[in-house]
Order: sequence, then C-alpha cells, then structure tokens
Amino acid sequence: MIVARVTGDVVATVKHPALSGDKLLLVQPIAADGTAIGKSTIAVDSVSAGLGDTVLVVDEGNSAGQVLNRPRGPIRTVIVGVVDSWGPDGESGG
Amino acid sequence: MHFARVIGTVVCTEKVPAFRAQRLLLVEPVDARLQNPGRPLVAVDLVSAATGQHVFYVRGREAANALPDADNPADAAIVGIVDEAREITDVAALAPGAAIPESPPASRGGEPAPGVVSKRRRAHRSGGPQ
Repeated sequence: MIVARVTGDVVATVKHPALSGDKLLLVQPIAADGTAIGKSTIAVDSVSAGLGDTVLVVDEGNSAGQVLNRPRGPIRTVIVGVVDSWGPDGESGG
Repeated sequence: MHFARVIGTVVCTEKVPAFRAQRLLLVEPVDARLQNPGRPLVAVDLVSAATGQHVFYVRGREAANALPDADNPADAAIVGIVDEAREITDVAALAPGAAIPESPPASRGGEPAPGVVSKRRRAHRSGGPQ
C-alpha cells in the first residue's frame, strides 16, 4: 500500500463494463513531507475520497478485487482509506 | 490505471489463440494533459478506441482479466476512453476540499490529436462496452 494525495478526477463514458459506476480519481504518491514521488495514476475510489485528501492506495489486483468484491477483474489500483495522519514517529503529515 | 494516447495499430496474422479477434493498439503513456509521452507499448483494446484518442489502460495480470476469457497473455489493456481529465499538479499546495479549476487541463493541453472524436460524438456513439 502507498500513501497518495487525490489530485484530480477522470470522466469516461466509454469504459470496460467492470468499471461502470466507479468513481475514478487521480492519485499522486507523496512522501511524508507532502512532496510528490513519481507519476500519478488512476484509481478506483471505494471510500468516497475527495480532492486534496491524503489516501491509502493498494496497487495489486487481488487486493483490489477483494475490496470491490469483484474478483478477477481488470482493476488493480483502489483507494482503500482516507489518511487522518501519517509519518515517522514524532511527526504527522496531512 | 494510466493515461495513454493511441498512436497506431498492430496487426498480427499469426498470434496466440487467446488473442484471436482482439484488437491490438500502439499507445504511448501520457499524463492527464496528454503531455510527457513515454515509451510506446502495445495494448489490447476493449473499448474500440481510435488513433489520437486519450485513453486509460491497466497493466499487469489485471490486463488479462479485462478480456472475456482471462486465460490469455495480455499485459496491457485499454479499459476506457477519457472524456475529461482534471488534475492539479501542485500537490504540496493542494488543500483538502479544494476545488478543481473550471477549465479542464486536458482540453487546453498540447496540440489536439488528429482523429480525436468530439465529446459529443463519443457520448452518443453506440456499440462497444456500455
């Protein structure tokens, strides 16, 4: 799992049936100080996250299938939690 | 899932049986604004995408699951056509509950790709998954 920040959203009318009804958000992996690490990816939202939220993201198909209750689907990146605080002991990020 | 732009097609007469009747497209990874192209790759097309379109694809084992029969060797599959993608790139300045700017970056970013189907046509087109 990784910690990321929600940086945007994606609207798609034509998509795989397995994605119908899902909210797609852009998530940018971040470091403990809030700076971006690497490239943003598109994730399926399962916790009603919003723009700017710090979120917990899984990037593995079996985990995604279990969370969404849709095993063996084409989804591997899912937002599974909204982070209240995080960071090394003694610090707390957003 | 990642953004990509469709840049071409791949035709194989001789291919593994699992890929029969599957369209293979050449795509280049891009960002939400259709910029910063990466190394092109070949992906199975599940959404009848056309050259120039902004799409998103899934990589790895889950790409195989996108096909009707999951028993296939696909490692990338196009699973959606982007109507609109909005992203704020200044991550550090992003406050919880912030509003996304009105004008979508995707519509003003980069040069319009040839063959891009208009939003209206895309929304009304029939056929293809949903």
